[in-house]
Amino acid sequence: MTPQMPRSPIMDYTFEGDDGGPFQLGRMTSEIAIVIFLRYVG
Amino acid sequence: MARHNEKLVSQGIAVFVIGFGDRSSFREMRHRLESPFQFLRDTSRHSYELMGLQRSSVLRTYLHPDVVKPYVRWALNRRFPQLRRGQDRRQLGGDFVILRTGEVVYEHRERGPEDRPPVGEVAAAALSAR
Repeated sequence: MTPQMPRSPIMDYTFEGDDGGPFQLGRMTSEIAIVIFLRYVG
Repeated sequence: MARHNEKLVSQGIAVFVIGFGDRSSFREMRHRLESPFQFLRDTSRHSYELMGLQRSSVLRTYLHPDVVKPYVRWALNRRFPQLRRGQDRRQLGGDFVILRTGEVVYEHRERGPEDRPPVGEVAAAALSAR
């Protein structure tokens, strides 16, 4: 049996979405996400 | 990354950009870059902690040659970047590829402000995760 990799807690973290409302990565509809954390907005 | 977007979308891959700047700077950046990606904000930066993203040293933040070079180039061309004061310039970022199950299959945590992974490497990691 293949060991199940742990679910990252980031999936349940609440961000402010594009529309100003709450957004969680766990709600994404895509199979895969590239998630880029920026240093600062210059 | 934006020029890879069409291929990524066709393969069921979404790109999320997360930052901690103020709302207007964020909107302005998105507009300037004509970015097709979804932008998310986290002013508390708790998500950065969750992902193990650290702060750079003062020396590396301000004096690393790869950080100084673009500023020198801008100055020589009499162009000056808009300095966003009030943001933590020492906060480091990172790149991750995460499956819908929450499994992280690629991670790059910056060790300094100049430490960016090649865009192709991140895109390839996402495409090979299918």
